[in-house]
Amino acid sequence: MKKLFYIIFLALSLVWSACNKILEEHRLGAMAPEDYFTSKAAGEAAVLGAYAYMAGYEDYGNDIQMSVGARDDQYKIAYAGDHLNMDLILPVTPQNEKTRTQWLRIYSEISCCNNAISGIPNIPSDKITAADTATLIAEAKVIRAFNYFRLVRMYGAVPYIDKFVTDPAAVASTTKMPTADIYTHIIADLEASKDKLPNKYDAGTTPVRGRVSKGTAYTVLADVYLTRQNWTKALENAKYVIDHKADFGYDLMSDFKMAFNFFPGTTSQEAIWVAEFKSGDAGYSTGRDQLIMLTGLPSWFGWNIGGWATAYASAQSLNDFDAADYRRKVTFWEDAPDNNGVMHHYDEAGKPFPQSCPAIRKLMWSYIGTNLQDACYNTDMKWPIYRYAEVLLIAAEAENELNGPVNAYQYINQVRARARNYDGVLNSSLIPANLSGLSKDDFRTAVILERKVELAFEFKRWFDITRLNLTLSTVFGPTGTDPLPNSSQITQTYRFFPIPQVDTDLNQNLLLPVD
Amino acid sequence: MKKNKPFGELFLCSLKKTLKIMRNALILLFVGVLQANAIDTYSQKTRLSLNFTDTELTKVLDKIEVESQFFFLYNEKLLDTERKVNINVNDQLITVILDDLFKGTDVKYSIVDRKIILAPDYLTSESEQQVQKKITGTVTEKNGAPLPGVNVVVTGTSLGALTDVNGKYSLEVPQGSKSITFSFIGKKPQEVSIGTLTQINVVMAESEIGLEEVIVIGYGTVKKSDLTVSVATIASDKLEAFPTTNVLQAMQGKVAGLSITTNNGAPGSGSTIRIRGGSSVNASSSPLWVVDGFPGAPQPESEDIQSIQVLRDASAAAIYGSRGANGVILVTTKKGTSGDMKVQANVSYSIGQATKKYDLLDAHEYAKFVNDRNENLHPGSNPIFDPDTIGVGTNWQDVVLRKSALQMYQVSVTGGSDKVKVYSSVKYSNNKAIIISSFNEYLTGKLNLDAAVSDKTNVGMHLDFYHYNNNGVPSQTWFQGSGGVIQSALVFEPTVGIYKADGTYQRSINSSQGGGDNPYVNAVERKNQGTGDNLSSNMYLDFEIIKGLKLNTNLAIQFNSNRNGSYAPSFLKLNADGATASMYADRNINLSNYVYLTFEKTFADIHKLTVMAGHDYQSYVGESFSAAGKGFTNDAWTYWALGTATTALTPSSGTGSWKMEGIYGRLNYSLKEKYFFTFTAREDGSSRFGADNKWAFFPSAAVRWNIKKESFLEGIDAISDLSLHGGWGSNGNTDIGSYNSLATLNGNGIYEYVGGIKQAAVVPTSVANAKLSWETTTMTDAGADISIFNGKVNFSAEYYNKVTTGLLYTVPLPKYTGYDNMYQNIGKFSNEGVEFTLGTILSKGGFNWSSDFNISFNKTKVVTLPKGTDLIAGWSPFSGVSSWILREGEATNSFWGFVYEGVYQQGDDIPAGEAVGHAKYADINGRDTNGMLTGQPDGKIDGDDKTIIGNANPKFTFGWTNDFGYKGFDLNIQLTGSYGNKMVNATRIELETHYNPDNTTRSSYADAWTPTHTNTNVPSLGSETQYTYSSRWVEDASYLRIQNIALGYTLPSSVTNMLKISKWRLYISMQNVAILTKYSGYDPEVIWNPAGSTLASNVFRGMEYDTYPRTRNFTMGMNITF
Repeated sequence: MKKLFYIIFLALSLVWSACNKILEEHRLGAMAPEDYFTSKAAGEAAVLGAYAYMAGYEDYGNDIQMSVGARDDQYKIAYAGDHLNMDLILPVTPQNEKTRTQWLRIYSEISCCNNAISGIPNIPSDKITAADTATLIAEAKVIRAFNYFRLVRMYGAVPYIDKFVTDPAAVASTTKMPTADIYTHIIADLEASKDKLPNKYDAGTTPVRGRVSKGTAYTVLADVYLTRQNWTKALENAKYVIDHKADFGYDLMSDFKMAFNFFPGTTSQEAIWVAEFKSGDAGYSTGRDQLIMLTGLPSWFGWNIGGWATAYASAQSLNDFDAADYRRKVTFWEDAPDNNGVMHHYDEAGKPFPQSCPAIRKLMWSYIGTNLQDACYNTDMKWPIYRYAEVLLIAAEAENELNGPVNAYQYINQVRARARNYDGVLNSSLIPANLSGLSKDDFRTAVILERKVELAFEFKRWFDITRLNLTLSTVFGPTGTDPLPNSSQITQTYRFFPIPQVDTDLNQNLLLPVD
Repeated sequence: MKKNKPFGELFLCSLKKTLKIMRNALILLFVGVLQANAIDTYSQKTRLSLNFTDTELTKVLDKIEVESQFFFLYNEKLLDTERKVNINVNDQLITVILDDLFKGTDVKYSIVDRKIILAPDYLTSESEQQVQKKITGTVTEKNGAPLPGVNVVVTGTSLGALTDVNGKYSLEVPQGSKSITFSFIGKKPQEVSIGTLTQINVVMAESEIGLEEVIVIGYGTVKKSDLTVSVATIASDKLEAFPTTNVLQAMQGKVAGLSITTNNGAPGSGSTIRIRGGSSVNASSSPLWVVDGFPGAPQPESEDIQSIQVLRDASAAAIYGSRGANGVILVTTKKGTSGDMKVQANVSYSIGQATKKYDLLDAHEYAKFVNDRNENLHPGSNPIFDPDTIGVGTNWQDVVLRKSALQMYQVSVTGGSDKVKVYSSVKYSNNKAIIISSFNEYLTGKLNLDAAVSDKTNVGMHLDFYHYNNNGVPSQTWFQGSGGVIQSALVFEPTVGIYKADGTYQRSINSSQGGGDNPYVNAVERKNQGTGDNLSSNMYLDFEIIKGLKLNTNLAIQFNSNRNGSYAPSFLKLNADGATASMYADRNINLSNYVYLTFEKTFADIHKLTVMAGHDYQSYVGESFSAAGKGFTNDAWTYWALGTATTALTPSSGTGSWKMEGIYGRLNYSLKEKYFFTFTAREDGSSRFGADNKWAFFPSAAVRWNIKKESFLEGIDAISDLSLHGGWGSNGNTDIGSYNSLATLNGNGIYEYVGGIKQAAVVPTSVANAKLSWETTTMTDAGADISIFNGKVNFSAEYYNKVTTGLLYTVPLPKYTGYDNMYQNIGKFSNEGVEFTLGTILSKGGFNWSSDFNISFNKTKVVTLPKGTDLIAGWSPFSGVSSWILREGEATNSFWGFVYEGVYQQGDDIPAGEAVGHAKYADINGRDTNGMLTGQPDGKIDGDDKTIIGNANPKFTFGWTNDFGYKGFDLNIQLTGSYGNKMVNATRIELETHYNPDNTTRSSYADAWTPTHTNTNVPSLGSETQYTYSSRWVEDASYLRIQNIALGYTLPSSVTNMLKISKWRLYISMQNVAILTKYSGYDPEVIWNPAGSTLASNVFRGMEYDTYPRTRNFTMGMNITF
């Protein structure tokens, strides 16, 4: 009897270790890439991961303003902090925090796309149709192409990773791909995908512009060709969007400021692709967007829009706007009250305006109807990545380059006509007047200026400066559109951000010069 | 009518009655206290074989001590140790052997656990001794048990007596005698001066050298004299100097090489424990806790602990293999003893207050400061305040801090029969801490049950529970994001009060808190309440299979659950868009089992061999979930009505588990009790590691030479012990959390809104590493122990060199992979150091002084890092301010920042953008046109000019404990200290940068640069536009702390006997009495670690930021034994 007792006790003691494979890890709630792709919904969530990153702090939520935004001749950054110091340090150092976070984030968006592209074909065929598989992969490819398009314009030649990385050692010493080759891949992805995408996504009464549709793919492609100065293809793709605007639900908003307002109950048909933010959902990571906070005037001056005034407009950028252009009022704050309610002009010393410059108002329109004081760093903003006005301007520029201005006016004047609708009402103002009778060169100048005015602070201007090779010293020189103190140091290398040192330290091949 | 009793007698009577009721009440608290008898577990299961003919008794007793863990206590003068005896027994119980040995003599024995007391019959009988009575008294052991046979002698004469079975003696003393000496083998001798006393009670302490002491090592015990490795022991009496809510407080400063740093002063705050320095970057550097054989069991209460063993060296810890790299702390809890039931109660009450406050501006000064700052920034603008109309305003530190009150009650009952013994206790503590509304309440209970179920079998169970309740107040954190109460109390403007005239709360007007709630609101109106329960049970069975071969098996299980609820009402500024409530709960189960076999045999009288082999299994499963909502209609419901939220916030849930298995063995061999050898080996497997690297092997070896036993030291009585030891071993560290070797997609809390509609999204977050494996720490150590003057002076020295390779390191990946980093085994750290321990005992004229001093020197170095790349972390309370660096060849915990050179003065070469009176940082580095660092100044102050500006590692740390005793009085004084460590005072960065119109220190306002006050290091007000991490904030954080002073008085037995109390001690004490330091913050002993980051506690230490202040406590209490 006693013996039996001992045996039972011993057996009990050993039973936990008696089974094999006890040291294998089984995870619940955390997903392994190899057994994740089991349904259409899973495939869709994998694609949506890329959008989630885009609508995050390190991309469209904040850092894009601190990198691509801060670099142009319209944005200025108020504080010469370690990482914000885009204006004052020439060139931007490889340690710059914001170009590093943008580099990381854009590549992680690409990683999401690669994960989706390699995983979605593994979804069992009874769980997803072949058409859905093709559509989701096309969507991921367009996002990937757009992200490489951003990278190649920001950093020049970069590593091109189009496979989901499962072994980092395999890409540890990869070299940069020449920019022309990267463009070939970008164009291939877009061309292969553009006709596989739906015209629209439906979600209630609000048009869904947070996902890539057919119109988006054509728009991105038009922009890529424009950058490559392939005017024929740029025009062809832009015109496709214009010709099918009814199918896609695109049009200009009658009131310019409403092009940036995306609150429920309002509809911006002008948006082609937006980064969608959502406030107040703790699970969704609060504080994801700070764009308005960065540009808003400080609250301690009695302004009702709490902000940090970290980013503001250069005084020179006002000059591009005619004083009577309605877009100037939408784009800038030139006056603001102190805490006694007395209005002050931006150039009054010691008043709310940072560095005696105007503040950027444009981003606030997406914000109408919420409590600005308390939540301007965590909004329901939907920031336009592309909007229909840009497609018209792409068409105008490409048409002019191909055939001169004759057929290009129709596009640019649509944009200018809308700008005359002061507060949405056709105004007696004749400004900005329709363009006519320009030479090809003058039209080119006019359309670039139109882009600068219409798309101001939308993270487009820096790419215009670099793609058109606007002489950097002319832009930033003593008589330029944004004179910088040490502009004489500006060279062609200034066109690109340096590849962040965190990566060149790990892979010195990235320092090898490539075309 | 009865005659009135005199008042004194009445008082004693009623006191007696009260105490009796108390005792009965206490007894009722417990169950299963059994009858007394006199045989113990160990003696029941230990069988010995002896074969001696015509041998001196002392040799036989020695042999028994060698062969077993028994040791003898007796009076040499009363026991004829030279008596020749014959004994021939085979595999017999000790009782049989002793009966045989002392057959026909007047010697009687009593066995208590491993202790055997020998005394003549006449002393062990109850019969009154017919001796003249001048001085009487009782001699007891520390635990109150009487000691029979103690030699009580009038000092310097042959006049003496012996104590009887109850420890009582009575002695006639000639006129003019000064003192009495008490002596007993195995105990420290004591001399007590007589004076006018007629009663002298003495408590005999164990002789410090305690050669016969049994040391708990992993999977077994060993006699201290057989030990080959560096094991430091803290006995229970060293843990009871002052009441603690946590045993770590009692362990501080007690062991060389063991560093315990309390993270901050908050009730229930954690501590960071390091044995011989930290050895990891991303894996935990905390030692493994093993309580009664159960790894991972909760730390018991100080009062329940019998002893703590700290396994410092690799060879000692090697038996724990993959978890021993950071050392092992073995805790043994108190077991029941057979004999009369004993009830012990400890009651204490402490009042505490902050030791220090920052000297900040009052409202009047603040108004002037804001005006001055504003004038600097906007010359000619209107002043913001009219200081003449403003008084002293609100001192926010005084508002949020109060006197703390800590009460503790602990009761234990022990007792037992020959078969079954019980130790049980309950403890309740309630700490109303010094920040208003923070409190912590604890209830713990313990039951240790040991039973001898047969001659060869013992079974037992340890059962523990605890339950806690607390309300936390955020400290060490930023106020606006997290409601950090200390931060807001420091920076908040003194010009506003708690309430407005209409009774609503006043908010900030001017400071950076911009319209934010005042500190009082944050402390009182935010609820952050936690509660939790833990139940652990630990069952064992020991069985002697055949003579010399024993089986030990243990099965332990622990259930733990915690719940936290928080609520922030909508009248808080941060919750203007709706009150928020959230609840979080977790539960986990930890299961552990071991089986080991031990075989012991002595060959040819000189070769002693012990072989042990065993198997371990442990598993852990944890789960958690949380839910939250926003927008509540009734603040009174707090977090108890989540369903009424107008917006449900995203819930979350998760689970995680790990398992591990190990096979191990140990061989102890000793030759002639002079040369001792230990070899251990362990093969461990863990689920946490990569598929290709699940198992690893950890060997160790150690040797000790007992020089005292050599013939050349024989007869040198001054040296009672002298030995040298050395060892080598390798250990592992698996503590990196689960699943780190696997690729993961994460979808928890990741969504994308499409057209305003929430949709699930997943992103790849980590990449697999099938090769992920252990960190291996290899340690070589050597040491010497010497004991002289009959054990009155003990000294030991230890040297070690500890090298950790294959560091579990989050290696940065090129970002183009889409990942930030991955765990790899890469890099190398070293820790090298020496430790000295000195214990002395002085006893003269009834006065006793025992002192234990230890000092440790440790030097830590980063030997190699992946690709030699620095690891710089911008981890600090202020975003974007890089603050720590790991660099090859440098120490860990190195600060990374600018060198502060004061302010620019008239005539300095002032760079563009700066001006006179602005902060000046050293220009030490620049870049060439290729972007490479030149090491030369470049006229610009930028990130390249950062350098190492100090580190947080002390050159040495020490602890000194003193116990004084004189006639019933006892005095304990404990000191701890640290020298050479630096600290970044981040609280000052915020207070003294004047970047915001926040409150500031008086000194920095008075000292700020102005055109008329230029001889200063403080920049002009408002000239700094950001927080800059520089040498300006690095302070010397060396300190000497008087940790505790306690004065106790044990009532004479004449009084206690009347009350039927065996011991009654009253005491007063003060903790954190004083601190000698140059550090300007609340306290230099702090770890800023709000996120619980492993990296932070390992290699990024030495920052103080708005820490919860530590208190100076005044305590009154008593210990009472029935």
